[in-house]
Amino acid sequence: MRRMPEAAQPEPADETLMQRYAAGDVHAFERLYARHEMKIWRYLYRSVCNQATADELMQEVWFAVCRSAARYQPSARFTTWLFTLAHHRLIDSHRRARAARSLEAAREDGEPWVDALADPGSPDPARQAEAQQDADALLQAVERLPPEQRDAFLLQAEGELSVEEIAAASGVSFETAKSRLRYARASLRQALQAHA
Amino acid sequence: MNGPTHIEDGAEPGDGPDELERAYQRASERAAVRPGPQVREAILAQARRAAAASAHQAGVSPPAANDARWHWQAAASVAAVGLVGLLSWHFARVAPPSPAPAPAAAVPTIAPPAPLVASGAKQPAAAPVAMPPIPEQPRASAAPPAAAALRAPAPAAALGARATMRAA
Repeated sequence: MRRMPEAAQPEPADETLMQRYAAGDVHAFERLYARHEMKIWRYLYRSVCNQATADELMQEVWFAVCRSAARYQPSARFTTWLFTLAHHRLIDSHRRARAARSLEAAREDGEPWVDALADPGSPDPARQAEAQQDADALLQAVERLPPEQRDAFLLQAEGELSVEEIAAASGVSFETAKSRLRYARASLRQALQAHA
Repeated sequence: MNGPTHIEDGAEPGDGPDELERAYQRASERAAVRPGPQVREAILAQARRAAAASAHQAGVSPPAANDARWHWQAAASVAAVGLVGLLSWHFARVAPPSPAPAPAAAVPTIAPPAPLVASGAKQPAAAPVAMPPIPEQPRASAAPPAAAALRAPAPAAALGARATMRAA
């Protein structure tokens, strides 16, 4: 429902906006940022489970986009490039901090969990509560995934990257990326079934 | 538009159309976690600064370091200098043949003194022995005709003297 007005008007491609920004059009960057802000941030946040770290990484990623604009060549999808930048920042962050990620740490940040999950039009409070529990269980299961599997899944779910693009962004082979995705999805499905 | 459109690669064969991802996206989008307000401001401010800087650079537009014309000009300059050097070295080395006609012209001037000495010895047999080296020396010395004319009498006289000694 929220996306309908955006879908109604034709939007220029990400690559076009990036090239416009490289030519000095700040509004193009603002549109690009608005388009990918939450996807990138959720990818970072779900990976580090910490609001402050996610904010810091978010700035690093988009600063890198600003710096690289002049050299940007639309040889690949902008989304792939953007999530590759984010992935590299994540790796750097893991190497720097070796921060322990846990669900409890995320909770300490005051994350207000989900209002309702599926079927937002449903007025049934019981259904909404159930959906909230499902959402909670799913997000917890995502956070409990091994880092490589979680990264692959988030690149797929948030970045909408294909397996080839995930492999390229992560610097692994196609088979490795595919295997990580398969394990991640199996674990999530298993967690949801256990919750149900 | 909402769901992913391409993700079946990593899914288990026979899976539905990414029901898991849609569930995740619904859960994730409903969660009220967002980046801090200062993050957006900082990023957009940085974007404006970078755009202004790039616009300034575009206005100044110094010659690019990777401008191909610069390479061509440098290569042409080096080639021109090399060619000039090669030509000058070539002419410096080959120049001696150009005065070669000079000894030939100088021979008549050289010739008279030698016969004078040789004829004084009255030894006609000595001339064939002594004559061949005479044209060789001016050519090797590469001296200008005037200098050759000045130096020529000495060997001729020496040869003449040698001829007289043999005759004696």
